[in-house]
Amino acid sequence: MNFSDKLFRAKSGFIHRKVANEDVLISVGSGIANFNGYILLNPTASFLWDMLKEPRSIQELGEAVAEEFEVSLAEAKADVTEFIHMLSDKGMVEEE
Amino acid sequence: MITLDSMPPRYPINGTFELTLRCNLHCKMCMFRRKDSENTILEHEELNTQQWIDMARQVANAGTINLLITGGEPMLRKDFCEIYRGIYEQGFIITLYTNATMITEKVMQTLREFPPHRIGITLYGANNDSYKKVCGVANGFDRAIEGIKQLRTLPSVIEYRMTLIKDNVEDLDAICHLIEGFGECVTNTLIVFSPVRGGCMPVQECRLSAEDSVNLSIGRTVSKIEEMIPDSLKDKVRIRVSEKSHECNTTEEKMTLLGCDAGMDSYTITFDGKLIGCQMLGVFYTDTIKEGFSVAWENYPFEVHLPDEPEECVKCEYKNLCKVCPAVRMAECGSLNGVPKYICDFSKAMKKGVEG
Ligand code: SF4
Repeated sequence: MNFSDKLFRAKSGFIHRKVANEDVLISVGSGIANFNGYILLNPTASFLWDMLKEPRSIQELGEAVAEEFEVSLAEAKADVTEFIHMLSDKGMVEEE
Repeated sequence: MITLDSMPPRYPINGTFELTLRCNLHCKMCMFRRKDSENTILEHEELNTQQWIDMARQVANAGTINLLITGGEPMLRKDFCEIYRGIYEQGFIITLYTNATMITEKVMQTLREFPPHRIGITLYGANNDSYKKVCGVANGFDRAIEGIKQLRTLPSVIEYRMTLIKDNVEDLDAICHLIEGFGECVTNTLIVFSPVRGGCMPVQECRLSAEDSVNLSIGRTVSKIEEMIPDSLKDKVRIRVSEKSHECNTTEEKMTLLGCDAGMDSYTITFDGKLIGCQMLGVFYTDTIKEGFSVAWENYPFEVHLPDEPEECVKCEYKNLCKVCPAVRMAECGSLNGVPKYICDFSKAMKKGVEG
């Protein structure tokens, strides 16, 4: 799938919280039929999930990660693409 | 010597909210049930709707992730749906315990919108007669089955539990059959503790003897395993029950307050806002209403004062099989260093079962 020209947004059905200094995403509502539990987020994933409250492109997310975590744009975009793939596989993001 | 100063960090990961001690059923073996004449005062002492929702906010901020909502029967509260919704919206992995006999359309609407991750349903028998004998209500079985049918339409994981006593032990096969029909199985509770925290039910009269419980448990486990062995191998296989030592492969010293995770990563908020380590043990507590949850959680260890283990237990040959803990000592003996005969009988019966 070519992700580069698409916009993504986090689906509802998850609550983003801190638990014992860790960021977690808790599945809630009818979505628990597909995924009943929670996911631990590392700092980059947590940052991205918050950005995904609004529709975002890979380019936009990559630039934000590169700036926030002081990594190269290429590296950031590769990480973002991988993360979006994972979210997409689990049905946690929707395309705008 | 280990002191409270050297205590590792404690995180309140697992919480229990006991919304009420009141219940619509009168189960003979309930540890918590008080007299009906106390209901008015109990209701008056319960945290109100806003206090529970605020408590949920506080425990979420403090790091709780798994939250059990229980009672009594939580759905007996008129404001159950409002409290439940307010708690759910804070974001927890929610488990809801219920007897499934009070599932109204309003409850179902709320649960459909905010489905619990898990529902634990307690069953008391396989027909209305058993419910009458065990819980003192006439059509309890029909109501529970109706409730279960509705709860099964939710995306929640459902677990079924049954506490076996003299009045319902004959129903066990029928209950297992019924629940297996749903593609699930039933967890049986065989150790039935005496009332705690002011409970008044005649538990000691109605529970099975320790020996009968152990024999039932071992007998059923063995026959389940036998069913799985193909006929051609039946005379070649001998099933042996063996002892699982509590002392196995633990080299690290783990610091606890009560011998388990209670008060270390788990807690209960009682109907009236006390923080206790374990729902069974009310003697050590802090007050979340006066102090707020975080301070009450921090201060809890300073309230725990355990006497030394009794000599008889220190030297006991059944120790590895024994399920005793301070809460059980308190329930069975009314003191934190009593030696509970019921539990000793269990340990001895287990040893006999293992050796025999
Ligand atoms: S409670 Fe009874 S069986 Fe358990 S350790 Fe003490 S004496 Fe032994």
